[in-house]
Amino acid sequence: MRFIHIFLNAALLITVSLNATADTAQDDVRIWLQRMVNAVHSLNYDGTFVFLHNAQLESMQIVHTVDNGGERERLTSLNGVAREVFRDNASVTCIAPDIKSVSIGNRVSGRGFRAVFSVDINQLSDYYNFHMLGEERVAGRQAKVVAIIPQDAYRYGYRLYLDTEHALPLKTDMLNVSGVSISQLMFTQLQVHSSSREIAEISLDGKEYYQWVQQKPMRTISDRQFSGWSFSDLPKGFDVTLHSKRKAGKQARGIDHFVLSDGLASLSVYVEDDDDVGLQGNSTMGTVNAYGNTISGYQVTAVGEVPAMTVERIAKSLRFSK
Amino acid sequence: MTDDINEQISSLLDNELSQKEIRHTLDLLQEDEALRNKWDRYNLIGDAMRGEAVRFSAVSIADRVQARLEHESVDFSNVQALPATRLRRFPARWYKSAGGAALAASVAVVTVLSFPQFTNMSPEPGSEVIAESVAPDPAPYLVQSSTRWKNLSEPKVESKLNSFLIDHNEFAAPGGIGVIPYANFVSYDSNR
Repeated sequence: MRFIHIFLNAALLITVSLNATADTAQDDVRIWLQRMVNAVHSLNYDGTFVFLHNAQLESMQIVHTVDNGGERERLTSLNGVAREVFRDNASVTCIAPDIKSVSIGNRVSGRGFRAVFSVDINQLSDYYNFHMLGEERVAGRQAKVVAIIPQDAYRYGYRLYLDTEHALPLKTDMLNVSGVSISQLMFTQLQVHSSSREIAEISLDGKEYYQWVQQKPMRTISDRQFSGWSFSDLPKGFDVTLHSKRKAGKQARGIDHFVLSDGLASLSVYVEDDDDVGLQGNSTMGTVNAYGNTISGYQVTAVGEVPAMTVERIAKSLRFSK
Repeated sequence: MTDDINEQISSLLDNELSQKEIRHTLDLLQEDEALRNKWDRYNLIGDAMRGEAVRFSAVSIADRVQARLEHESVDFSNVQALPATRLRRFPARWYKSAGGAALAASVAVVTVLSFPQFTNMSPEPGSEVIAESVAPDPAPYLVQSSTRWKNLSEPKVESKLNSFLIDHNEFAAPGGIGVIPYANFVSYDSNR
């Protein structure tokens, strides 16, 4: 009897340790990705990075601080036109000196939006595979390399080089399903600070000559009818995560805005009155693809950091049924 | 004799012959198919030894040169496309020589210059041959590179897409996976 006990215990132990081995790799990826998402939002850092896309190289500077008032971040272009984005908990300010425009938008708040930053590997593992790839050195720092590999061509994958100490992404390669590089973002210098720092106020020469645009606030609505719109043929994993409506100038209907996501990749679909200035067909900027067409007399535009075939298929899958 | 001609072909490749010898060797090459094949092989060996892109062609390159020479006049504007490494083998004075020597020399020059045009196989990836583009297109050099919406000509559509993109960034879940959400906007450059 005693012998059987020992045997069972031993068997149990073996089973447990086997499970542990199988889960370790996955747990490792899970821990590193969650650490990264937390680090990006909760640490004080500043650095310079290069951003390569379509054989075009840009250099930018980022300052990120966190204090009782929440997160503040300033992103500045170091080459070409000195475009700049400043954001805090309340608003996002986009400055475009080239077109003398300042655009201020309110941060989307309420309903826990952006309150929780998480990567749900369980949910994502139906559309992506996850791997730890070992170590590399970036910006003079040691980094763990994590690969997120898409299972079809409707989403991009990533190779993330995460700072061993802070888990900040020192380098981010975005790749298509065949492993061809879409973009690379790499810090050349990064400093992490233990306390928050002042971010200099945005200084504009000749403020009065700028056109200031206050973007209309979006109103999120929980209308399962989606104002009569529905998506008939979404790529696997993509679903509407948000629907909002906003008044827009003289447009009677306003603009319907749908956010679709597979949990990692996301895109927006905008539906508005056909005013003849909408996008027809494909366009692309940097790593963003857009597709526009007319459906039931409405202008439909899909925009997002997803492959061209994804914006096109999703824009075309919209149906009006009212 | 055989050794002699081999030596001559080799010397021709290495630019070690006198004007008279060059003329004589090229004449021999023109007449003898076996010699032309040899000339091809020597070129190939030379390319391989220098670590250049090696291309194999089913039909003798020299034969193709000859065939082409029979159909069209030699275009000396090609001469300017000679890459620096090749120039050492065929110095400038070659092109200046008059009459038959010029034509004979041009056989050799064209052999080198027209290499990629005659072969069905493309160069190995990663080892592009600069001389391939006979007529360089200056257009890409004259435009400042910029990040902007592609295949659009309507400024109104562009600005609408910009506002959509900025708006979308607010919703990009989950705060962008390591990609800085507004990088695309900041990199956007309206230089035309």
